[in-house]
Amino acid sequence: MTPEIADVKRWLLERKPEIGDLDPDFDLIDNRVIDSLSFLDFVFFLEELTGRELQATAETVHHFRTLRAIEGNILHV
Amino acid sequence: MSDVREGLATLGPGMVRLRDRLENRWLAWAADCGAAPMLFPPLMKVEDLERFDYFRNFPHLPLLVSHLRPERLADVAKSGLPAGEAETNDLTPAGWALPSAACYNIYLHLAGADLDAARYVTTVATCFRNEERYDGLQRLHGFTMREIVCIGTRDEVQDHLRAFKTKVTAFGERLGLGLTVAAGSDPFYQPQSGRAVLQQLFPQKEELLYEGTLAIASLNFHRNFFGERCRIRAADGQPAFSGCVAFGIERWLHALLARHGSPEAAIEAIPE
Repeated sequence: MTPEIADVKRWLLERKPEIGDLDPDFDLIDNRVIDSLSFLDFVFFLEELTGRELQATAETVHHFRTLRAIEGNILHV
Repeated sequence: MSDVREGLATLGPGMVRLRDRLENRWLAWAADCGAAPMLFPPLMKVEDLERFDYFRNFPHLPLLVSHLRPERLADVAKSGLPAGEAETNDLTPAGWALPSAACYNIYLHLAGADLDAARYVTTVATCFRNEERYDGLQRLHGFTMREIVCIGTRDEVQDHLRAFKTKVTAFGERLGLGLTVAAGSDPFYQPQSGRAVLQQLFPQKEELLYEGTLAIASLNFHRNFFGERCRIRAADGQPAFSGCVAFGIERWLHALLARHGSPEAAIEAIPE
């Protein structure tokens, strides 16, 4: 696990500790690890982590769905 | 046929027969998917709705129920309420609310349950919403909602919603209603809020629209929200997912009347 994805995982688990652990393919949206109120905070967090502005649109939304997708599409581009 | 005043509808015999015919169709669908018919109390506890963030999300909608303060009873018994309304000072704090949706009670009923298989429930309720304006049978202060709900794993809930989308769309086609499907646009959400963005990005609600504008049914995917809040576990041991198909009965009556001209003609169009 890269340091960045470990940071992402820590950020998510701090907000939802009852999950215990996060599988790389666990759907963060459907399981409401990221809910409606925290989604924008999550995007801001990823922007700070990557130093880039991220677009959350209908076309790119799948980039945010799982840890694996975040790693492949956002952290390591 | 129907008389609507200040958002409150009175249905005549023809409309009641049409409503019964629709209800028979939906109850048959509910039976097909093994949904248990249930009826819940007509009042909900404010503290129960608070579990669902209801007041934070929809502060303008609830109708709260109170009663007269004991110390005001003698005066009111003597003089009545000649102003046509009770003053807030006359009332006790409101611990009850009128339901605004039929299915909340289902999750509360199942609170703490460990499900060994998906649970299907259907219920109907008179629901109340405080709206800015009312419009015939299309937007009522008090209206009737039939829901068919699935509580289970994500796949079970998504299968349920998919199956009902097909059924309701085909039914609407057969009745000449020409329903279109649109992502739910929830006017309660502030346009700039994270919730509105998420609704756009990860749609949770689809509406079946009559004439492109009037949502007469909706398909709602709640994810595991109610499972978490009510501690309901699905067969996989995880917080249960839930989803419902909801029918706004008076809106169906409006659409069928507009399309067929009379309750009798609309009844003819609906297969037994």
